[in-house]
Amino acid sequence: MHALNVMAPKLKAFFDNGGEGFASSHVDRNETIQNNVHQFTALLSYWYRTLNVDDENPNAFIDAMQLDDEQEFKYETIARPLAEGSIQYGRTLTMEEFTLARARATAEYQRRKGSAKKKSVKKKGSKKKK
Amino acid sequence: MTAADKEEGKRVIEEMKQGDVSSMQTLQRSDAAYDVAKKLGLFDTLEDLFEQDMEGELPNDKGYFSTTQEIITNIFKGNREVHDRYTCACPVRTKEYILSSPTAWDNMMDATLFQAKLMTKADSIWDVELGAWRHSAARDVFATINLALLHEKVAKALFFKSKATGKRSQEEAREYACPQRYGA
Repeated sequence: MHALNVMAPKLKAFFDNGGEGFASSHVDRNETIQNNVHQFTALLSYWYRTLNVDDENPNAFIDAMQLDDEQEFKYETIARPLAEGSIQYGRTLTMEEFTLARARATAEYQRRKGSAKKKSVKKKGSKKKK
Repeated sequence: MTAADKEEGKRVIEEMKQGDVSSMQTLQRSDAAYDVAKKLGLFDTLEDLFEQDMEGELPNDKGYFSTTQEIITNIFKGNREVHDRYTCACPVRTKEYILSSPTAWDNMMDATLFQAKLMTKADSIWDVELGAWRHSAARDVFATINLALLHEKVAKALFFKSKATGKRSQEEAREYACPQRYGA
């Protein structure tokens, strides 16, 4: 699997240890380049998933990045809506479109995280009962 | 295609083979010159230039800051008649390049990521002007690549290039075997 064995590790190196591959915001003003790398990753991950590159694990590409919580939040609420919205429109999003896409993605992310948390609390609770 | 197009395409590719991409805008402006350059080994030359740029083997006294930035923002620019760098990327040219060799995409991706890595170097921090140039180069390169990746045909080319190349070879073989049927 070229995408996972060759492409993914090159990108992962940026995200490792809290993002050691990225320049400080002193050099990377407004974290423009960091955001671009996030978006690049989101675009590749979208196509990896939707083109069925890996039928068994469609999310293998983004999973390979092993994003920490902060990176995951940024990825899910900024990079992904930006990338997937741009694919949908075939162009970069206007600020209005991006704001809307970001709000939707943030709500969805929080809902997903919330239900995952509830599930884990339930599991812990059921273990205690035993 | 005019004789002038042929001359232009030939001249640009010859300069590129010497590591000079200052005439690259010719290939952005003229599809005919681009076609000539393509026949004369444009894609192999691009791969060599990406590698040389990452190795720091290209001359410093060129009239532009980054070879990778010049290549990507000129060759792969879409809406080539519009004079800004961020309009869109050309899916056809990008796909052609990716399918040109098994290493083409990896080289382009490496050269793109290299622009981001350069910004973590110590001299990008203490040399403010150098840092700003590098920032601008990285931003331009990512803008174009990310716009190219909006296109499914580009994504298919990079994820399925071995299959696509195989299919293309089969089609080329059929055209070669039966030129009258395939209009070659």
